[in-house]
Amino acid sequence: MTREQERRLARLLSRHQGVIEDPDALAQGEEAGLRPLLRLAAALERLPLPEPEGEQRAYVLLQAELQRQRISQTVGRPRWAGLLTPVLRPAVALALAGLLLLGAAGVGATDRGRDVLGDVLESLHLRPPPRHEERPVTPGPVIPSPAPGRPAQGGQADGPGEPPVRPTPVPPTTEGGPPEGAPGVPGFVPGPPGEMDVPPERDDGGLPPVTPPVPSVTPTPPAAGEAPPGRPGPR
Amino acid sequence: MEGPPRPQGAMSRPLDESSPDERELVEQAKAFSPQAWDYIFHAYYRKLFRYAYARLQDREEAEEVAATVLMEAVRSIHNYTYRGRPLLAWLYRIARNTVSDRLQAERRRPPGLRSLAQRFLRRGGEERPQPPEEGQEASISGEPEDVIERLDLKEAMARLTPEQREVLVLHYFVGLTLPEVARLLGKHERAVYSLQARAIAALRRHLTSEMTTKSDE
Repeated sequence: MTREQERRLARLLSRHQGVIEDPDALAQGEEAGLRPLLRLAAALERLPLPEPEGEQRAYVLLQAELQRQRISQTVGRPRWAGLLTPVLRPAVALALAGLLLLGAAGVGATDRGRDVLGDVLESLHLRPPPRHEERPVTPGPVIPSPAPGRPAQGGQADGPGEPPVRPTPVPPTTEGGPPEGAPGVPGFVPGPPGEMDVPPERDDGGLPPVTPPVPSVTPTPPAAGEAPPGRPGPR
Repeated sequence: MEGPPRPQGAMSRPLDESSPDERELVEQAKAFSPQAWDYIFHAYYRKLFRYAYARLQDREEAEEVAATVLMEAVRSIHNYTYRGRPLLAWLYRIARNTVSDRLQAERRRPPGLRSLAQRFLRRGGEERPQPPEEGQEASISGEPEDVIERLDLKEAMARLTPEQREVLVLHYFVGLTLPEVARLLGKHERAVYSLQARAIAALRRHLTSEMTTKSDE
């Protein structure tokens, strides 16, 4: 069948239903050599449409399925749950993200937390190189030695700073008078005889006064950074 | 046979596929309204059966497919969104997939059994091991010659392209008009007429060659 024939057949089929009954369509088809095709189309038109026999059974099956779906809809999930789901899902996601951020901030606020986070970042190769490798080291501001009984202030974060100076413990005397060796300590102000040695008043009002430790018979605990004495071995 | 009860109320009037009521019907079907599903069943069950029968040529299987399609529709109606295309287009898609699955399963069966059954049927029932119940075929097509013709037609139709075959099946076997077929397939009417013309020409060619082969035998 040529293109032209195909177009003519399509036109005839669209214009005439049951073309075999239509003498005009048949005449046109005969001219174009389409008569057998029109007859076939008409024969197909005349095919009886089959009727189902199990319609009742199908109807019962459908009703049963409908009932099952209705039950599962009402029992399995309350109606409002479906309405709330689109709202709840983003809210839960946001709350989880917020908790995660708060947790990370809380962990990062402590020294130990920072160390832990640093280790984690380092293990993930995400940690930037230390700052002292990026910038030249500049000395921190010179801070005068604090008076005894006052804790030293550390250097700035960027510079090495000065190490904190521990106040030299001054053993109090009950009898009064300067203890032996005490005048050698810079900034030491001896108290009046017979009185307790009172540390000088702080004018910054920020840090609490340091009470000198009371000397006792028990050994002084090791300074920070020293290893504690080992236990005696088993006999 | 006494059919199932007809739906009552607002849904009982005939539904034109372009009618705006179809949107309402889908909404009610999504809410599992029994009236809506009654309407869907009575409007579409026969069409689905005829489509399946034209493709499978087996009454029982076709009835099973039609019932399966509607049950599947109940199960998945919540995923369906009405966008102006007829609801039948959605049902037809389910039916086409179900039929394809069955045909594929049939092809996987041992070919010996398949061709043997076809040969028995083609010989007009003379060598049928289990003759069908009396009146069974008559209710389908009337005369045994029609059965043979139909089987040949089935074979000839199997050689058409899927698009050509769908147009012929939906028009001649399901009974839809060509504009309805166009809406169902989402095609332009002119394209459907063209497909029909080409399908008839191809069908005629296949049937003629089969007749020649038969006369040679």
